[in-house]
Amino acid sequence: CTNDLNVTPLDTKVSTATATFKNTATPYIEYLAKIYAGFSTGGLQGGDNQLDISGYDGGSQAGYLRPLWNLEELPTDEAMCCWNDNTIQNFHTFSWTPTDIFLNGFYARLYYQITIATSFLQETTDAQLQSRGCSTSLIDSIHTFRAEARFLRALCYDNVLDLFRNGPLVTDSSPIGTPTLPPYATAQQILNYITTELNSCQADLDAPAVGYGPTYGHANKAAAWALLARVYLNANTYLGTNNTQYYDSCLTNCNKVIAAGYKLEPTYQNLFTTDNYKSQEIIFPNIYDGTNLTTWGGLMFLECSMVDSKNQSITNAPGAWGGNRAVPEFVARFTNEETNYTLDQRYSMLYQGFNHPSIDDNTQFEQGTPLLKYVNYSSTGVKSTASFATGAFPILRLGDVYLMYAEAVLRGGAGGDKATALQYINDLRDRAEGSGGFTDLEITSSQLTLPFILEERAREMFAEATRRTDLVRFGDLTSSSYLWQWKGGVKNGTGVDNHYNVYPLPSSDLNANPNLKQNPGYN
Amino acid sequence: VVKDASTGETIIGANVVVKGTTTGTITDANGNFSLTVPAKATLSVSYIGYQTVDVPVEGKSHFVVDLKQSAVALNEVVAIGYGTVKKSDLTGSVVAINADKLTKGLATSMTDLLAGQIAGVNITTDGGAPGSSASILVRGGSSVYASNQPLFVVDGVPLTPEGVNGVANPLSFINPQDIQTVTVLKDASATAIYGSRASNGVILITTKKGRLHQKLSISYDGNTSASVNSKLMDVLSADEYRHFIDTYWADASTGMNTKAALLGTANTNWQKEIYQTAISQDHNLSVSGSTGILPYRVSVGYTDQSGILKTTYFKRTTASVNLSPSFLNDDLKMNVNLTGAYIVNSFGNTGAIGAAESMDPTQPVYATNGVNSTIGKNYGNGYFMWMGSNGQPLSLGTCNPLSALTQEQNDSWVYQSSGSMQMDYRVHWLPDLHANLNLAYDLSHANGSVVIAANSPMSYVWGSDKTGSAEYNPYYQSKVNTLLDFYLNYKKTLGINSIDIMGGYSWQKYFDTSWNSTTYATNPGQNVPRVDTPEEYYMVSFYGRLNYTLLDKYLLTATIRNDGTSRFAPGNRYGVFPSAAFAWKIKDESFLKNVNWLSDLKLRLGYGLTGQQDIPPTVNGVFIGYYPYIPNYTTSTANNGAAYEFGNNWYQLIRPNWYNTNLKWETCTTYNAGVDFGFMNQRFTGSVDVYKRITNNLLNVIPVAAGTNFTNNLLQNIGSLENKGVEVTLGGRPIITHDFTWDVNLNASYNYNNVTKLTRSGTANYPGITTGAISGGTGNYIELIAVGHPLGAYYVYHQLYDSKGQPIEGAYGNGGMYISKHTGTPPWTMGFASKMTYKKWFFNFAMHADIGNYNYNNNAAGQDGLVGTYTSSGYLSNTTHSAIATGFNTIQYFSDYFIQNASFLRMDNMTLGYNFDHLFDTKLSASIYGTVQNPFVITKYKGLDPEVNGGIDNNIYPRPRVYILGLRVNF
Repeated sequence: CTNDLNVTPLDTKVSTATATFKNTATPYIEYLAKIYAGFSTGGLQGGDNQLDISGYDGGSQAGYLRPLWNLEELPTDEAMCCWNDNTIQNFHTFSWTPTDIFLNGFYARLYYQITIATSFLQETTDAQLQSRGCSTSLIDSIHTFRAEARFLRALCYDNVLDLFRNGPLVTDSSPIGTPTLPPYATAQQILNYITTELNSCQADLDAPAVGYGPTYGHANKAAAWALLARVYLNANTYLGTNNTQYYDSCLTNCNKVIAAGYKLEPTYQNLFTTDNYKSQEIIFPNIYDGTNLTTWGGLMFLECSMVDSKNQSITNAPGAWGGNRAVPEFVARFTNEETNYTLDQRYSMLYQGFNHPSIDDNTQFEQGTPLLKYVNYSSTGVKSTASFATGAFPILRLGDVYLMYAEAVLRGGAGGDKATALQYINDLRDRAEGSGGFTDLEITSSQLTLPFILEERAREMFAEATRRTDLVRFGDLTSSSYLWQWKGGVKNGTGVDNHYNVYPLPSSDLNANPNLKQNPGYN
Repeated sequence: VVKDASTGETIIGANVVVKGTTTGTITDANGNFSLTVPAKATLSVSYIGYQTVDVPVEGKSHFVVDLKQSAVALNEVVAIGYGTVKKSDLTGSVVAINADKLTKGLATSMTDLLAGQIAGVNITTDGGAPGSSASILVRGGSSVYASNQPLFVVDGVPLTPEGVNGVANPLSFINPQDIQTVTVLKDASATAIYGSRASNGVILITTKKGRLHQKLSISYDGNTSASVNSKLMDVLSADEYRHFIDTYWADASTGMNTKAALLGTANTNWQKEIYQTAISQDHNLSVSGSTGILPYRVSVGYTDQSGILKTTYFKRTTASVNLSPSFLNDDLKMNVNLTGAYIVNSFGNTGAIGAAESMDPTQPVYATNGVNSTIGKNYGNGYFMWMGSNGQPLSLGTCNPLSALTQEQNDSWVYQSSGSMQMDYRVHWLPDLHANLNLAYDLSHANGSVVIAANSPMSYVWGSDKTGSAEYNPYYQSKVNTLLDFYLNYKKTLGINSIDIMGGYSWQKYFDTSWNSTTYATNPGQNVPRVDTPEEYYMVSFYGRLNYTLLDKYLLTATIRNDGTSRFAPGNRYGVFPSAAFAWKIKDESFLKNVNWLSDLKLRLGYGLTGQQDIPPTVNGVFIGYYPYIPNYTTSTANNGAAYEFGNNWYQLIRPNWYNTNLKWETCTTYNAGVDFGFMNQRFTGSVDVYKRITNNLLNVIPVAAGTNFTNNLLQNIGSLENKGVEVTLGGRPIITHDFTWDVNLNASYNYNNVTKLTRSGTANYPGITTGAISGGTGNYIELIAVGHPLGAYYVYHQLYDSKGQPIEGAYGNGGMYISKHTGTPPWTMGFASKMTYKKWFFNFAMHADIGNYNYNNNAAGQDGLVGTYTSSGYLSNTTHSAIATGFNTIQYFSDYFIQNASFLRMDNMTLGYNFDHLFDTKLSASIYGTVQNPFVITKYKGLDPEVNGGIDNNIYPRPRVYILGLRVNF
């Protein structure tokens, strides 16, 4: 009876690779769908159940968007959190450590995504597909899936590069499921890997598709270009260099995106509604759905964490969690910098109802300014009644590309000009005033400076998980030249050490993988 | 003079009674007695451990009474797994207990019987819920993530460790009234015969059987009881709370003085609303006897136990049949066992306990909440609930505690059956050789559901939908465990040598299938399609044991077991687990033979290797399953909230699951040394054991290098830990007179647990693995598994105090978080049981103590933050007097202020009863008794109850005080 010990799974939902992948398309699409869904929900069941990652809370720590948002927004003027969730308050006070659970959770998510994307590529080589009897047309469509997997992997490496700078490098040839440890890669090596991958996977990606259509949800060529633009814009920051060729490359890719036909959403608010899939501005959406794709992180968090009982009805948020709000210095990005700020619809998203913009006591949610950007109703005002959020978070959108274009021009990049840059910026500002063809907020060419770009990025991109990256690029995250409430743990703010421009590698991975080196300043 | 028939020693304290009267005396220090008696009287001479002798006086005035040691004491047979040995021939650390001799309170499972009774066996119930589970640690935990429960073997059949969904305690299938003896194998020389499953000790349960030639015997044993809550949390009353809110939230300058507007006008004691006095009953009837060659025992039992938390109950019906016939002139002995149980459990929503503590006492229990004008709806089914300014229920608001019990039904219906057929054949032409075959099954079948009423406060606050719709979450689980065991046993004594050799083969299959509705249905009667998750694993084993005895003084035991499991890849599948033990009956040496005061002295030395493959289904959030070494993929279930949209279509997800082809057994090496001793003819006995246990290749879910597997924490064999300890057991009869006897049993044990290795590389900067999820915040943990510290060590900040000894909010000592030396597991545990009889009265009590354990008072930590009395989503929460005394404004979850000494001494039960013999001049005997269970606890602990499984004290179901009136009748 010792043969009884050779078992195979009885559960029809569980199967081995050979039983799962044959010569039909569905399993390959569903495997690809898992890689995408991993950016939205933490597991194989809604509400972050059947988690991919363990030891962390699925919704708040081990997902993609919520931890990314925390890491990008909490150390800045756009958000301070009053919850008691573990070390969440350490981000605003610049006192995080390599054991931080939010850092560890997000890093685990990034490498989980990298690993399943890599495994997808290893499971779908031409030789394997042919041996399983896949038709030529199926192999062709899987080539597109493979390019998407490479894009999604590069997106994660962009986060690694931006937040952690250095880290392990897992590539197509990495053996998964063995004790072989991945090598340590420097910022330069990761940057090279991302750009090489994005430049080469483009060929197999779908053509850019503007608005809603049959390829909605798939990353297309424009997504690769926009991501390349973002990587090149920040490359000098990542590498500590001053090489204007990176701005040239940024502009090359911005131009490709802009030429693809994307259009600014006429009403700014409609970028953040339940039906923003219709938007012609969003290049790469991060999809959520109140019934089909649910999570306690992601868009749900963006909608609920900024509201309490007083302002919940404004956004119809599915919950009133009362956690994050901006400090007064962020509000000043409008009120001190813009003469006509009351005309700016983006400013109207700053909730004034607490009448106590200064956060004197962080235990009180009703101090500070919640940013009510993400709403749980449609562009026509239809409120969603689902218990989870519906809509897409724009990971890449045309407005961001316009801002990148202008900044790359101002930083000396070739392939663009200042007049066009001014036009793009004024397009954004006109749109900010409304869809009626207004021009009150337009600026002149002399006003278009690099410092202005940072200000405009704050106004245009606030609460979209780019603020920390922008402040780092402009040297303002840690410096004492720009201070905000409770920066560095002091009420009026203080400069902090430069090593906080980069997050530490998690101690759990340093311990599991001796190839790695901790970032400077952390031990 | 009364003497021992075999040794000739005089016996002190023997009872001498004139038969049929109450006249009597006891023997003095020289074994002498004197008594004035009628000439035709008969003297009855008795002593514990000896057969009673009747001596006719016949006019004599001087007697020498030789008492023979009773077979039971000397030759008492103890189950050791695949066989038995005489108690005196034990070589390992083994404790056997006769269940009927235990002092007990309300016992619905074996764990209730054994708590505090055995040195080195630490049993902590999960709380006071009817039928609640218990954690059993034998000599500390030897595993981190693999199971730390001992292996239970009922009449030769190992049980599945996790039980079945819908029953909190897997041992509650066994009616304690059907248990004859419980044998605990503690050290590896005793347990290694169970190989891979024996690292945490083995508990052998033998059920009651009929005896050959036994006369028909009918007995009834029943009780009725009342349970009352013994302690409430010290929350503010409604008036105190109004005053608190008015003063605490008084600052008008920051607009904080508006909270008082939320106060209500009622005076509600929420805790009184949710608790009740629970009346319970328990009835057991058994018939045993022998018809010709067929001894039998049939029993039925019915338990109806209500909980002190309203709507909670546990109802169990059990039946068992045992037949033990012999055939072929006793060459073939059979034992057939069949048991069945049906359990109905109503769990209630224990969230009501925490809610009752934090619910605003100024709000009424019942209220018609404001009608929402847009939809014309009354919320809450007549119960008060928190409403937001938008006229919608607040999904974060505290749920009305009473409604949490009355508007939700959390019930299960569970069938269980087990059966075994054991055949022992004495080979006719070679009587020293026995062949034993055991065929057995154990199956359980559970259905359950959680039903939330539409529009109830629950349906807005705690449901999964939170939109007010009804919810229906059915679940199902079925387990089947089948066993075939065959062994040969050869016993032979040749002169001064005797040997006992056993060798066998075992095949065991575990199958389970389960399902729970992942999407809630809105109609409680709705037929939700069932998608089962079946799994199975097999174990195949070969084992053998050699007992060699020289001169009946030197005992050697060696065992070996080779276990194969389907859970590991072929190359790592088999594990070999050897053991050896040596015992020396020093008392039988010539130099001690004549030392009269010493009646027993034995030295035991043991060594053994045991294993562990029993990994709970989900570890630290990682689903393990039975195929952890096979690369595999799971597809998400439709309509499950996890799909992805391409174009207009939603696609299911296929996920690659983590796997580890290198998984293998966790191994535990145990060294044990023990001494058994007895004085004054075993009137006082005891034993002392010291041990060291080293676990290597821990099955551990720990960080795996990023990018190397489909998880961040992988099940791997990495890490080591050790347990060291001492156990002392003492028993005796300090008082023996004719009318009054007193038996006491005392045990004490000390265990020190220490993690010695945790990771592959061991970087100093890596603090360890966070664990011990707490309530409050999201994703907060309070424990750290770290090298050089015991499992469950708290990971906290060092609280600073002002000159008055008051903790200073947010002020912590240097160095950030530190690893406390305290854990929730007690290093010292003690038990004390006492039985007194005076004439026909008896008075028994049992108590146990845990010393040196510290709880994380999660309940207080979560309450001690006064700003939490108002939550920005728009509701108030009550607070406690102790929170006001602590004075923290913001919750300080990680302050070591909340690591609180939870040492305690608990009186488990006290019983006073009276025996009636030969009632109405028949053989009818009876006893009636009254018991108080849990009358008091002595502790410095500030929380509700210091006895918390795992040490994180968070809304424990309070252990009630129970008043029991019981009756036992034997015909």
